[in-house]
Amino acid sequence: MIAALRKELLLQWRTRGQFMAVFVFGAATLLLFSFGIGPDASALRTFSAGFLWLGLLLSSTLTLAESFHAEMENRALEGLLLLPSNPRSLYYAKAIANWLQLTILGIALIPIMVVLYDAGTTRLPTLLLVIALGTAGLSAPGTLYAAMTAQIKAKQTLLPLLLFPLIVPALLASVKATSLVILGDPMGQARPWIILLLAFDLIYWSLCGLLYGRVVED
Amino acid sequence: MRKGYAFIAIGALLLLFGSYRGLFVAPPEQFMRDVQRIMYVHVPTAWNWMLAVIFTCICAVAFLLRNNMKWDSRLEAGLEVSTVFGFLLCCQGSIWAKPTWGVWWDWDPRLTTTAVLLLATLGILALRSFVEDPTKRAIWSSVATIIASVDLPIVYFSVKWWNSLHQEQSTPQTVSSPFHLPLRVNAFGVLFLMIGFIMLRTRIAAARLERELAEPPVRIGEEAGELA
Amino acid sequence: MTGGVISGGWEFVWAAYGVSAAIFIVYTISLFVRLREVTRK
Repeated sequence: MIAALRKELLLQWRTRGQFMAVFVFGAATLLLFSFGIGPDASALRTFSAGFLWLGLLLSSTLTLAESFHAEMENRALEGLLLLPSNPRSLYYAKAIANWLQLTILGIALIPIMVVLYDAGTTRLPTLLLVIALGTAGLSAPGTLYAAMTAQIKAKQTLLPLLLFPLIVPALLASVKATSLVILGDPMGQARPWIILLLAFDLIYWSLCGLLYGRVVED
Repeated sequence: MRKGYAFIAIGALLLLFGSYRGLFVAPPEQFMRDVQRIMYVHVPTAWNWMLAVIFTCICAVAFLLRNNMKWDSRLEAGLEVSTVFGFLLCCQGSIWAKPTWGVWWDWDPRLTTTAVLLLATLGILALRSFVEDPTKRAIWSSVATIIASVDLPIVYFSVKWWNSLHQEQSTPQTVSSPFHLPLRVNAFGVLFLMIGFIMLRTRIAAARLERELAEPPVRIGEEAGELA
Repeated sequence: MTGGVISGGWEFVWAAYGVSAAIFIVYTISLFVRLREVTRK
């Protein structure tokens, strides 16, 4: 699996220009949200967590769809299946690579969020933890569905249609936790949300890995 | 006459009896008075919706383990019936919410997670309509169903875990006894309806599948195009 | 639930039962029609 992971990371590094595009897309989404609300500074700040995660979610459809693009281009998916490495390692390698990309995106969007919504926080490590756990919750099912939808023609429509309802619980927990970190958390409520997020991650990462083999078999 | 219709007929009769009792014989409730009578359709629908989702999940697992297409037909039936019941549930809940909470909808945990599951089953039905290969379609919808079913325990426990606007679960402990009879009768009524619906819908799915598999195979040129 | 007693509200009750009956009936008819269409061929 390490080899598969290395390959994925190498691929991502080579296509880092695309990451810029996704980052710009994410930043533009955040900007659009602020237009939607208007000059109401306190409302912007209150909803900043929601905006950040919506922006990440929308950007994730770009990232996730891309992750199987290389395979589909050259029908390399079938070639990979012939290799002795098992499909599960391939899945985890891709899921981890996507996770990394989304986490970096999340971190990159923090300064945008601070500037546009005045949503800074001193609890930076906690914020980073929430972003990491939340994007993990997006990446696991997202990579699985990307593998599915990459194989059919209506992939652009289907990926968000399938993915969005399924990740709402994890998204909800992420938004709540982020919101508490940004707006202040006098009663220490962030912790149960973070634990819930961790639970989702464990469930999704094991379940999706288990099911992946069936999804790409011929 | 198909067995499915028999189940539907029995279910309808039970519902008529139970609803009669619930609407005209059972006493009005303490706070909500007569509006509370909606409970006699809402709670049975809720219970059976969850059962339908569990059934669908079981079919998904069974298909992945056995690879027998009859489980896929049942899965399709379960998905559709879950969607219909889920949609009905949201309608009933909405109608009950207006006089009691003052709003048609609220984004509290119970409602949100229910809507999520409804959208998820709808999405899986949409997925099925886009995939032409029957085996792939079966595998993918089974996988998606299993992942979507993770939401069901969250729906069930949402009233316990969070400070939800929605009432607590209705059990014999939380509901007082004059209300039991219409509730139980209607619960079985909807259950029989659900079983009948699933039986008939499975037959439809199986017949369509039969026809699909009997068709001449796809020409080679088209197959390559599908992966584009 | 806080607040006092809700009086009346029968129109909501009928609406709820009505919607339920309507959906069950329409769905049954839809099943009947689709089943006939599929078994006739």
